[in-house]
Amino acid sequence: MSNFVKIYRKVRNLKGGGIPLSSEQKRPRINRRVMFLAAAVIIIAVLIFVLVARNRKRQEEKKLVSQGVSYLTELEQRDVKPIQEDIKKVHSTIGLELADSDENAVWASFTDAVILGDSRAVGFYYHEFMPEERVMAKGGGMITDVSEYTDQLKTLNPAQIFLCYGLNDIGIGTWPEAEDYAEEYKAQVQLLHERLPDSEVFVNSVLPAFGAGLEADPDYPRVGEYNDALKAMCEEEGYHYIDNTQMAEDHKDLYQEDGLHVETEFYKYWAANMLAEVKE
Amino acid sequence: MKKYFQYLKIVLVLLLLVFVILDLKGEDISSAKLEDVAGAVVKAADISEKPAENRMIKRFYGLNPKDFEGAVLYAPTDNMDANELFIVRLSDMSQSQAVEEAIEERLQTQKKSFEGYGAEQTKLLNDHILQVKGNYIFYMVGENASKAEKAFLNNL
Repeated sequence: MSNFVKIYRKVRNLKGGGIPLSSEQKRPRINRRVMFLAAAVIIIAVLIFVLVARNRKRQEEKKLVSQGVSYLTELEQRDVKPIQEDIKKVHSTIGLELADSDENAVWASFTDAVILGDSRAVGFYYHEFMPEERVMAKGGGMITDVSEYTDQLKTLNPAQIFLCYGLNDIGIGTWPEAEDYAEEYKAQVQLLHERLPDSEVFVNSVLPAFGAGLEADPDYPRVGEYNDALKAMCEEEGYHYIDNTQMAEDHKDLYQEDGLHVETEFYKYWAANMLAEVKE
Repeated sequence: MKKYFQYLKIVLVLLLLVFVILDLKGEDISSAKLEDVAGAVVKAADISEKPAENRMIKRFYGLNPKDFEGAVLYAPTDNMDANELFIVRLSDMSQSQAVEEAIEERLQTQKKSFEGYGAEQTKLLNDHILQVKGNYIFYMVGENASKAEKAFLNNL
């Protein structure tokens, strides 16, 4: 320390202007103290700052955690059904993409399936996507036709049976109330379950009518109503229900001019949509 | 007496000539090419689609197009369409009946499939034209069937 004082004194003398020794003797101590104090203040300030900052961070984390917890609690309390429907939609989208990326894979999945239906379903064999014996469909076909095909079905014993009815059933006016139609449909599905216990039955929603199709029959605009009734019936009975409305909406450009029947290119999307339900 | 015999000879020769002519006419063998006939018919019928593949002839008529001199089919686009044009150039007259029967059967199948729900299509099917002209057979279901038939006959 004395060396420092010596050097310091020399420096002060160099600067010219003498300084009384007493003050010289005092200053180093004062300055040392000041510096010490300053350092202490700084250190304390830094400590305080760090503590404050850490505390703030902790508070924020607590907040995030409580947000997370409340989210999870809310999820727990939420109804599973809409989530399942969302998952279904995602699966369906992925499934529909297969129609574009690998159409052959779509049809390959139908080798153990049989389709029953009306003139819209005829396209499945007419355009040679599936063999004619696996598509039991005809123009004017109605849900009540199902019993005609049970013997043929028994011979084939398919893994899946897809039902594609509705347009003629709605148009003919036998079931003016959608619920009555759903009851009839249920009876037909039960019949199939009885006669073909090894086959899984899938109910297709009625494909909507568009444009000119809506005017072809006064009841065609009510397709949505009938589909709601079918969906509710399937949910109640635990039957597979394939909702084709969104897919049909997305591909309404592939409908024919009559607004009721569909072009060749539509069938792969319909098939892919049906497959998505098989994999559920 | 001699005069009568002379007359008789002339009459017999005339009759012979008449029979020969009639017989030849009855054959109605056309040397027209199928492509030419079909081209004219398609134009008259205002058909814009391409002809169907040969296997469709097998599928719809149970006939093998290779059995004939030529066969062309313009098939319906889908199960709601009844429009159809089928022209066959026989390689042998003995094939005529088989082809006609096949066409009749096709007509019946189509009629059955539209029965009760396809009124427009049923009408078109009922108004079909089936024309057998010697070695050429013409079958058409469609609005322009009669126009097409005329073109068919004119180009044989």
